Amino acid sequence: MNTATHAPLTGTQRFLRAFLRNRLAVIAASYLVFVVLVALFGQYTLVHSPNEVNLSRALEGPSAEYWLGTDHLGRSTLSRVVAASRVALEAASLGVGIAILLGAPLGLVSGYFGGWWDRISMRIVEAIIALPALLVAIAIIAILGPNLTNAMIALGIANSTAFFRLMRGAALEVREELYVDAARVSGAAPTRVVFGHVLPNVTGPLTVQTTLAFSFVLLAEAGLSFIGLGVQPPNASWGAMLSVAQGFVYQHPFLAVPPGLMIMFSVLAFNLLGDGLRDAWARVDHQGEPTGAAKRRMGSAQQQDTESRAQSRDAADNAALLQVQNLEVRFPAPRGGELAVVSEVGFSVPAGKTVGLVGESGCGKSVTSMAVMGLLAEGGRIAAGSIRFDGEELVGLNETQLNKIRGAKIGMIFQEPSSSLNPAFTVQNQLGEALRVHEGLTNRQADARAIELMDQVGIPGASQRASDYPHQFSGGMAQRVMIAMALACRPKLLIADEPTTALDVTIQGQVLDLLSALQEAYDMSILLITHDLGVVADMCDEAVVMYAGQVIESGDVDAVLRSPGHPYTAGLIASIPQNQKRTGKLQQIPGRVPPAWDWPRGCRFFPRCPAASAACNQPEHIALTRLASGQDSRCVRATDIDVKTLW
Amino acid sequence: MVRTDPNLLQVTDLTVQFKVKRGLFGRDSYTVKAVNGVDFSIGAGETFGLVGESGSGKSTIGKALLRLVDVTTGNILLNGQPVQDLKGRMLDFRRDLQVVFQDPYSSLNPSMLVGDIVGEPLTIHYGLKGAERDAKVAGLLEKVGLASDQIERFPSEFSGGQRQRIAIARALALEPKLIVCDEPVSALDVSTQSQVISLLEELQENLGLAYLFIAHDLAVVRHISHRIGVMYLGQLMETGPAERVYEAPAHPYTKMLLTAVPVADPVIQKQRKAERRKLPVTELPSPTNLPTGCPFNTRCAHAMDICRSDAPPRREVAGGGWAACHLTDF
Repeated sequence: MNTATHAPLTGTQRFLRAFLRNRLAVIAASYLVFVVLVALFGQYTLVHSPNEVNLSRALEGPSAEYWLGTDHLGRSTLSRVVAASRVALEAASLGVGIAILLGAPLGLVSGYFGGWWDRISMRIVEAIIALPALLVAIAIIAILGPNLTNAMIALGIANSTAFFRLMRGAALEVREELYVDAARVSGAAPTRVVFGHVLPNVTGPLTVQTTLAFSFVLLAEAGLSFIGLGVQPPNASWGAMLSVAQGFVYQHPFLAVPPGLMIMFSVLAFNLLGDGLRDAWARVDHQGEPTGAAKRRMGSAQQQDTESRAQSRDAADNAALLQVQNLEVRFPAPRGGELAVVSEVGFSVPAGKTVGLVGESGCGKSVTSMAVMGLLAEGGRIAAGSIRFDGEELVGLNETQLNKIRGAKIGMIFQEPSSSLNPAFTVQNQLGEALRVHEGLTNRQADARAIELMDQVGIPGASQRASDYPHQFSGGMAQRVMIAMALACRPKLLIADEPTTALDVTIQGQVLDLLSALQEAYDMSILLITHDLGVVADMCDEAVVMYAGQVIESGDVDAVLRSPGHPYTAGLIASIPQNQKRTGKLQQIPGRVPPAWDWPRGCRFFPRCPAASAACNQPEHIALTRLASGQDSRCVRATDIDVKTLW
Repeated sequence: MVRTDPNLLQVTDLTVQFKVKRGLFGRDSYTVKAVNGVDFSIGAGETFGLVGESGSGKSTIGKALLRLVDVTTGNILLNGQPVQDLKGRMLDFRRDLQVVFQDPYSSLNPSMLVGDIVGEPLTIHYGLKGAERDAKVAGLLEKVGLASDQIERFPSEFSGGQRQRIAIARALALEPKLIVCDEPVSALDVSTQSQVISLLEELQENLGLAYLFIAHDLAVVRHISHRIGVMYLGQLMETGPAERVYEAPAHPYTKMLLTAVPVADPVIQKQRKAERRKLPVTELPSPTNLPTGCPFNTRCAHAMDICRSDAPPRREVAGGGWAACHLTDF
């Protein structure tokens, strides 16, 4: 694989790709470009001037000379539609321009600075919103006389409130970003912060709002001209043309078709373009964080069927509860094709034991755990291998079949408890949901069981706290609630993905202790995904160390951590800062985990390894080998070097 | 290493309070005491490690020093100049005190090029532009171990560790005397963590920088700090030379923090776990409703009656520093 074809796309490239994939939006954009070109240059190609009267040929249908026919004065409809498109775009640009220039800067300033200025301007904005924009425009025309410019100024002012509110909200959000603080520390003046740092980061929503405002103002212009308050005869306007056509609706119905279609298509195109832009931006923003959706799917899965759980419980033999073999997961590559992000991954979780899946970010540990749950992010697929759980093959099962296992036999807890709980419902409600629906408990029984569960996971005053909402819980207590939810159906296997990473150290200890205690009480297995070797030492019986999508070492936790058999494991242990006093240099592994398109041949760690030799780069494939100390290592030099003292 | 000024930064009795407005017309307003009477000093070329869990006020102290939040009472002297009353853009002050934040993703503006991010302070303070500025930026990037030809790239093209290097380069641009490092490695992977800490140590050696190094556990600060302060609920519980605090903690909270960090040796950790499981399950008190007496009394295994009524005095500890505890032996 070469780097150039697999390097990640820049934000702009990703945006363009996402946008171009939306066919409707692309058609709308092309149409609008066409309309703009027609408005700008169409008049030079016309045979008839828009105001050229020829009464002898009034109300004709389309012909070779008059492609779209003529109106009651014999004027070319085509010419008038073209001239009107210029009027329409000019008017819309004026209205939207005023709205943006007035609303956006004021909104930015208001949102960024807050205070009394913000309070006063918000009240003014609310007052303007309370007035119907079109009526205000009509009132202004009544005072100043029928004139399109006046009408557009009025609409611009009315529309500026939308931009004001949008920009204010965006500024409020961006204001909290650390780079704004960093700019202030650099000594940047407020104007520099607002227009240099905040504005460039809110252009996305600004563009979307602009397209929507265009469609609104276009429609308003047509409406005002239709009732004779906008463009004045003999000038052409789509609305005015419709107004004329109205008078001849029985004699010559076709007259209404060209301006009507122009209005309809243009407004529609602006709306579709806005939707397309918004979707494309959302895609770019959320790249690489598919877990939100996955978590929600998990949440509902946990409320799925549970009936079969009791049947096979007592069949608990000592064989592996979960066995993953030769797993390969592929994701679409940024520029086409597929990339194996996890390959040849194999490990097993024995009944009642805890296995730690360890590695740095980008090593594939989370992808592996998501594959086990069947919750791979969009586009990902299991390309090879097998995942056997409790005697059943999970690879190839459909969503319904997986739902019977997820949440019932396999529970899962995530790093961020607060984002996995629904903020709109009480904790008791969420805990009780699964019990009510699937165990057929009554409301009262489910509530009682929910309190019992909360008590079991060590939430003090469970009966009082049950009716609290998730935000009323601290991070540690929220994680306890998540654990209670995962336990509601007595799973055989608990997958804990960085369960304590977001918690304070003293709270982390408490949560780990809780997991150990519950493991004994429920006789369940735990697959613990973590980057923290201390947590592995604390909780696990076995450790599986991953690097660059492969298992590079696995075995008994004592063997792996006390006499590591792979230079990477040894390097991880050596570089934990806690083991090192101020004296001397801090130990470090040079370089960084390479991205999936840049994995070396042979040993994937060799460019960073102090013991690398020619042999490491040679073979296409390095297999796991059993070492004397009992664990498996994917290192060709594991036997001829002293891995432990390497670093 | 040049160490001339033992009191580059002096913080005395620092208090930061936030008013939280609640209810109609703010009728249910209350005050959060984020920082409550904190004293410490940092000498030139020295690292002071500030440790505490969430809600301890450690990051608020950093923000107060940087004047990103207002000081309620107390004194902050940088080079003998009071910081808390500065107004306007404070350009002279900004040149001496810079910052590296925890999250290298949110601390770099995604829509700016690396050259503009690192060079912005130079433009603001010295009016540097174009080739002149880029030459300076290239030098700064090399100083933090990045290739100097990466000026025209966006932050999104870099990994977390590299982004943190960019943030460090920006902090170095004005040649500050003191850098507030607010959890600079907490968001990084283990192998990257030690790289960034080493870089900070190297820069200190070469440039005589002083650091206020803020972290949530004692493990990370041990190697980089000369002295350590342990915060709990807005107050300093203990300070002292790093090795003394680590080897002979003189406050029950410091000890609790130390035992809480799991070590990567299963045999040792098994003993520590057994000890930990004896401790009662406790929760941080709400910052709006702080305990009277010693703030730690609700979670302390040794709490006595006096701890609930009287604030403990600061007592000297053999080996350097002090601890605020009624007990001398626990």
